[in-house]
Order: sequence, then C-alpha cells, then structure tokens
Amino acid sequence: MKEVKILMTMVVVLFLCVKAQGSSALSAEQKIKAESIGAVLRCPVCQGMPIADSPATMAVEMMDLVYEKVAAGQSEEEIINYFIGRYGEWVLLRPTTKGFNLFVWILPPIALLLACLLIVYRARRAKEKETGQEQDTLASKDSDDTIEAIRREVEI
Amino acid sequence: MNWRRTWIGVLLVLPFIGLLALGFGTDPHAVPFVLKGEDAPSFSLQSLEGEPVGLKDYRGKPIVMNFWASWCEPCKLEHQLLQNAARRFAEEVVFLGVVYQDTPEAAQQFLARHGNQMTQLLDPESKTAIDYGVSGVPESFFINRQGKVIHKEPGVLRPERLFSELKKIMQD
Amino acid sequence: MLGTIGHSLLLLGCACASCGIICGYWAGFKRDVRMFNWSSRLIYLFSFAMLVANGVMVYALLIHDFSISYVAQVGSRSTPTLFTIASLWSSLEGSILFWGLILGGYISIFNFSYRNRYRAYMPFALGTLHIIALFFALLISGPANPFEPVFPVPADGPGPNALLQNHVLMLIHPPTLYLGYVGMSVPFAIAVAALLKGELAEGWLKPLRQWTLIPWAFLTVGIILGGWWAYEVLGWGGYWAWDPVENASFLPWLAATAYLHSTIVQERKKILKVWTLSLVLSAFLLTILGTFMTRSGVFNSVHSFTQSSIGPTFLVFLALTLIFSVGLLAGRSHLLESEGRVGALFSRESAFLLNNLVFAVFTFTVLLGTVFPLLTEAFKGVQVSVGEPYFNKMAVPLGLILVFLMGIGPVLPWGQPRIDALIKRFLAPLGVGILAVLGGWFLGMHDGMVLFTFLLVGFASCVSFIEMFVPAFTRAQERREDYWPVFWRMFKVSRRHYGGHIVHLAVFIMVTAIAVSQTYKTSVEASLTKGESMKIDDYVITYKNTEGRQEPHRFSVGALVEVTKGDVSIGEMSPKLNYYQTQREPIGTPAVKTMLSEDLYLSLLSFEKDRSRVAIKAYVLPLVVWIWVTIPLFILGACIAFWPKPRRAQALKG
Repeated sequence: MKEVKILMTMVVVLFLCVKAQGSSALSAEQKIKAESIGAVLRCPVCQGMPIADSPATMAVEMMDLVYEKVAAGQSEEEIINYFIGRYGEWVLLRPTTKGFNLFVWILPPIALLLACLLIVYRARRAKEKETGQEQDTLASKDSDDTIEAIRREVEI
Repeated sequence: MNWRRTWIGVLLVLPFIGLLALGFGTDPHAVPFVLKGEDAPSFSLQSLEGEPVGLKDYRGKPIVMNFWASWCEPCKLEHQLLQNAARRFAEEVVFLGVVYQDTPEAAQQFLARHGNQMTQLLDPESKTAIDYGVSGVPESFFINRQGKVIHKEPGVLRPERLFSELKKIMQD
Repeated sequence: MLGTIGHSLLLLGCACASCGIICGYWAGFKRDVRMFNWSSRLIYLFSFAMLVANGVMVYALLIHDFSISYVAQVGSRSTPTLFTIASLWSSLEGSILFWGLILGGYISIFNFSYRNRYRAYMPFALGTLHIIALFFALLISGPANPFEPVFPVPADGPGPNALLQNHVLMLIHPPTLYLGYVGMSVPFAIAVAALLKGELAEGWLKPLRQWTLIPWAFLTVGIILGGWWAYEVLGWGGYWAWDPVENASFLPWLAATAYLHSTIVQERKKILKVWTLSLVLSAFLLTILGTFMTRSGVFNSVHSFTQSSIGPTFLVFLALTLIFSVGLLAGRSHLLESEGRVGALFSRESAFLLNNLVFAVFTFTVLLGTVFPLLTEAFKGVQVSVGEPYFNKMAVPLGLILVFLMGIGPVLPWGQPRIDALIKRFLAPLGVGILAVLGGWFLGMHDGMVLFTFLLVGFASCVSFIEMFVPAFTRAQERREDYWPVFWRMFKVSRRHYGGHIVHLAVFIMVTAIAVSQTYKTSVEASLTKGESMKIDDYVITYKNTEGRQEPHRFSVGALVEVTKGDVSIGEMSPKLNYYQTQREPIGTPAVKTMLSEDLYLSLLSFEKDRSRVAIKAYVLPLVVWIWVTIPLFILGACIAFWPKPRRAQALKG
C-alpha cells in the first residue's frame, strides 16, 4: 500500500488518450508522411533530437500536432513552415538549401570532387614521369604470378 | 624552419579560433524568439474554473502570458512576483497563466497553496504552447495593446525585467 | 584535510610538468643526457602525483567526506558503492582529474617502453607530453579544482548525474572513451618530436604506429559502447544521433583511422610523410576540440557537462596547440620531402590515397556540420540546427565509398596493375556480392540502398577472407605442406595484415547491421488498459500491471507486460521509468529482448497513477545486436595488429 502512495505523490504527466488517437486516424501513407516530417523537426525541450524519435512529452505533443495537420490535408511545406514560424529555422534539423545554408550542403561534395581530381592528377603526373624516364617498374614487366609469389613472400 | 610558411599557416587557422571564441557569446540553450513584433497567436482555451477564454476577449489590453507548471521548481521562484504584479496592475494589464503539461488537479493544489490573482488557463495538448514557440517553463510573453508580441522571457522573471517590459507594453 | 592533500598533489603535478617541459626541450636541443633523465623522472613523478590525487578523491567519495567540493557536488550516501566510484568521472572537475590519471598512466608507460631507445627523439616527445600534462594539471588545480573546501559541510549530497547511475555501461563507456581521447596525446608528441627534429626516420614510425593504434582501439570501443548505452537508456530505439558530443568522439576517430591507413602507404612507398603527420596532429587537436565542445557549453547537446568557466581556458589551450601544430607543420614540412612516387590510377596507392581523402572529407563534413550553427550565427545572426537528417544524408554515401574501397583496395596491386589479371581477381568477390544481394532480396529486403550495401559488403568481405586464407593455401600447395602450419607462419610474420582484415570484417558486420536496422525498424505506440494488447510485427504485447519500487537512489516504475510471438511465449518484459531526486524528467530503462535476428524494444512513455493504463512505444529493430558483437572483433583485430613481431621475423623482414 505504501508503494501506491508513493505512486500517487509522484509527478507524472499523462496524455494517454490524446496520444493513442494521434496517429490511429491516419492512413498508412499519411502516417509515413507525418513521420518523415517529424524526423526533420527538432524537439525544443530535448535539444538535438527529432520530435519523431523523442519520448519527451513536448515532442510527443508536437508530433500529435503534425498528425493532426496531416489529417487535415496540409502539405509538408505548410506544416514545416508553421513550425518555422514558431521556432525559427532552428527547428529544422536539416538546414534549408537556400542562401548561406547552401554552403553546408555543397562544400562536402566539392571537397570530394577535388579529392578525386587530385588523385587523377597525381596518377597522370606519375605516368608522365615514368614514360619520360623510360623506366619500367617491376610490376609492368613481370608476370602477375611472379608478383603474386613475391607478394606472398614479402608483404601480405 | 621556414617562417614564412609558418605565418601563412597560422593566419589560416585564426578564423577558426575566432569562430569558436564567438561561440562563447551565445547561449547554446536559447531557442530563437521569432514572434517578436508579430501578432500574438490567437487561442481559445478553458480556464481552470471551466470557462472559455480567448485572446480576443482582451482586445486592446496589454497582456502578460506566463507558461508554468506545478512540477517546475523555478516557477515557484517567480510565482510571488507575478502575483504581486497582477494585483498591482489589475486595472491596466491582463495577467494570464497557462498551465503547461500538468494536470488540472496538480495546478489547482499548487495555486491553493501559493495563492493566485491571475486567470489560469488549461492547455491540455500544449497547442497554445507550441503556437507561442515555448521551449520549457517558466516562459513569459509580453503582448501590447495592438496584440503584438513584444518580448519573450525564457526562464525565471526578475523584477527589473518584469517592470521594464510591463512599462513597454503599457505605453504603446 | 584530504582536500589539502589532494590539492597539494595537483600543485606538485603542475610543478613537475613545468620543469619537465624545460628539461625535455633543453635535452632535445642541447643533447644533454642529464636533463633528459630529469625530464623522464618528472614524468614518473607527475604520474605518481595524479595517481595519488585520484586515490584521495576516490577515498573521499567512499567515506562521504562532504567537506570536499566535488564530493559535495556528486556524492550521496544512498548511491551504491560501484556508482560512487564511477562518480569520479561523472562530472566536470572529476572527469578532468581522471583525465590526469589516464594521461599519467599513458606517459609513464610510453616513457618506460622506450627508456633506452630513440634518444634523438624522446626528449622532444617528453617535453611535448609535459606541456599537455601541465595544461591539465593547471586546469584541475585552478579553474576546475575538485578539492575546493566546502563550508559549512553538508550532511549529504545530491548524488551523481542520474543518467550515470542509470546503467552499468556508464561505468565502462566514459573510461574507455577517455583512454581513447587521452591516448592521442602520445602520437601527437611523437609527431611533434619528428617535426622538431626535422626528420622522420623509419625507426620512429613504429612507435607512432603502435601508439596510435592503442587509443584508436579504445576510441572505437568507446564510441560503440556509447551507442549501446544510448540504446539501452534513452528509450528512442536508436544508438547514434549525430549529437555534437557524439561527433566530438567521431572526429578524432576518423582522423586516426585515416592515419592508420596512410601510414601503410608511407611505409611502403615513402610518400605522404607530411600528410601522415598532419593526420596525427589533427587527431589530437580534434580530441581537444571534442573536450572543449563537451565542457564549454558552446555546443548544444544532451551530454554536455554544465556550462562552466573552464571554457575560455580550454579555448586558449586549443588555440595554442592549433597554432603550434599548424605553424610547426608548415615551417618544417619541407624537411620531410617524399622520396618515393605514386603508381598508376588503378593501383593500391591510389586506393589508399582515395581512402585517405574520403576520410578527410568525412572529417571535414562532420566538423562543418557541427560548427555550422556557429557560422550562421556569426555571419547571418540566424540560429539554425544541423542534425541527424543532414549527417545521414552526407555520411551514407561517404561510408559506402569507404566500404567500396575496402573491397577493391586489397585487390589492386601496388604500382602498375595489369587489367586482365585484375578482372580475374574481381570475379569471386563480385559473385559473393551478387549472392548477398539475392539473399537479401529473398529475405524480403527490397530497399535499393540496403541491397547496394549488401553488394559492397559481400564483395569486400569476400576480399578480406581471400586475403586472409587463400595465400597460405596457395603456398601450402606449392610447397606440399599442411595448411595450418603455413597459415600460422604467415600469420606470425604479418600480423598487421590479419589484424586489419579482422577489423574490416567487424566494420562490414556493423555496416550491414546499421543499414538494415535503420531501414527496417518499425514502431507502434499504444495506450493499453489492463489485459489489453498491442501488436507489432508478429509480437503481441499484453499489459498486466504497473509496479513501483523504491530503490536506495531512485524510485522506479515498471509496466509489466507479457509478450508472445505467434503461439510461443517470449516471456515478461518490464520497461521502466526511473525518478531521481535531482532530475525532473524521469529517465527510462527500456526493456530490450535481444535476439539474433532482431530486438524487441519496449519503452514506457507514461502511466496512470492508478495503474489502469500505460502508454508504451514498441520497436522492432532488426540486427541491432550485431553492432555490439563487433566490439570483441575490433579488440581482437587491434590486438593482433599491435602484438609485437617476434624478433626473428623482425630480423627477416627488416
């Protein structure tokens, strides 16, 4: 009985009924849509987690709101804009692809591209040097099996 | 040692250090305040006593909207201050409390113990809280006569802050 | 009393380190043996001071001496003993004290291992290590002093961070991660010594390799343990959220991994010396950046320690090391010119080079994403977030490129390849890759990205198996010998090769598990009354009762449910919410039923006080257990690679 008392005195926040209705009224498609929206919205109380994943009450309620808006037929853009209107761009876990934010999206691919170019360039230069010096490496002369044998012997 | 290269290298990393140093100036836990100067989002909620209350009921009056909960320790710190202000400015300013993620019983118990001069509203699905961009409690919004949100105070209200913001919303 | 002893020990540490810097560099530049010996003795003295200081703190925690600030801050009479010891690293000051202990351990062992060798380099290395030691000693004796006296002495304390007390993994995850972080100081010192000396002899490469491998292994295990902890505690069915603090541990890992690969090319082809050293330096700088992120409050994160005044101190240290490293690298790199040269486009060198550049791009991307909010704030005054969706989008292609390279790299020969021979070597792995795709398809996985991952992983694992087992087979046939003795001989001679491939296999298992568990996770939320059931996949979960239990340090509420799959009973499970005095929001303990093919993961969202209802979120997460399974494989691979060669083999090779 004492245990019940402790249970009673605890601070527990419950939104059970709301919760269960939140997503059940939706079709499978709508649910997927809502979840994909929830995955890019940041939970304001847990810092850094999407509302679709967070177990925090605030996140659960925001998710319910998303379900509701999806059920009401709002588009993804409308719903996301609603949240941006309340919490600013901060609420987007995936930065927009506009303006200054473009940098965060294009710099990594550019870096990767440069890396590939660098390798091609180095390989080219190495080849030029080689033909210039009329010098053959061991590898190009010997048969592959011999190399394989040496490889096994020496390196592995 | 090739000093020229050294200096070039060092100059290249300085911006990065500057950037991290800049980071100190900002509060990492602050959620932006986008409603500044915008129309206050309307709401129609039920008060603790069960009466319907909407933002439109207070058209033309400055409003202080305080989101709080009985489980929130810091809320206790500002409670008395808010009550005093509510009593003193009862004529000019509307003081609204919005119960955030809490049960009506717990909120009522809290108010019975600590006193209450404000209209207390229930926000069972936190829709109003989300509309205002609340990111935790306590959080207070100051709305002027034109219905524009002037200021958001995240965290505990200090007397100076409360009075200076009250002055602003009462003026315009 | 204990506080005074502790603080004096920290001051002793400061003194040792400051004298050690002078002795070390003096010995290095003036070639003074006496000074070198002093610098070496001071290393031991510093470690001793740190060891005793940590001992004093643990003792104070155990006897609940609340007159010491740190004990008053994290101690509590109700905390179980094991967690009391662990509270040494549960909070800011203690964790830095603990950091000092690990640093002391590392540098003493390092110093002892090479006490009679590398006389030209060691003084510089010791001097550099003393600088790092001095910084941490200063931090704990000044701004983050855990031995501050408290008056009046409280009767009891609040206990450590509730998240720490919540799971056993928290006992081993932070120390492992620290062993990884702190260990990066040693390769840093080795690299700095090479730069100061102005040459990088073959001999000095070996300590660099070995001493990077150790922290790398700890970092790897620490990161996976962190994911496991998040999975077992945070209750959202995930293990990695690209949180700034997670990124902070991932960044040095990326740099260190890149180093471990570039050093292979460097050794064989005598190229990339400067690049290799810069990777070592960045790995260390990134650990400091990571520590700065976790402790300064600049970055938003669940794991961040509370904001504190040590941020500026850390920033100054970070700035100084960054300037020092970059300046040194830029000013000295012309002394370390490449001797060798690169091979053709489709050679193993190129594959390694590409691997390194991809790792560099990966590091850059994660760093960019992590600091980008600071950038927009500085330039545009707008707050933005960069989170999971961004990082996933960026990391998946980069990760797949890396898996691809892990597959084709070992197939490509050094130097000039011959295309026809190359094609022959591609056939078997390609076959296995296609089989993996077909297998995935028939098991019902039709997602393009997952199948593509299967293709790459199948290909690459086949290559790893071939690389490990086939050469010995061929040789045994040539010499008409038994297989295993030949295998064992080869194994002994080229441990790094075998260790590396074991680690690769661990990566393949992990990549598969991540791809499948991320793509095919399902979840259902429901609010249940007593006797009511919810369904997820083939599982039926029936709510029976709610139980509350008062434990010494917390109050725990568990929802008892019974789970069946088809007609088979899986048993009872009890997801919990734990209430700590110090924490407003409860911390969950999800109930996880681990099976080889999938996990059933139940998270208690809320409950009605009269026990009539609970809200439960259930997840089915395929293959998750395979992520944790890789931990022993990583350790095994690292140990095999690290194990010193027998003398004879060394003589044969070198």
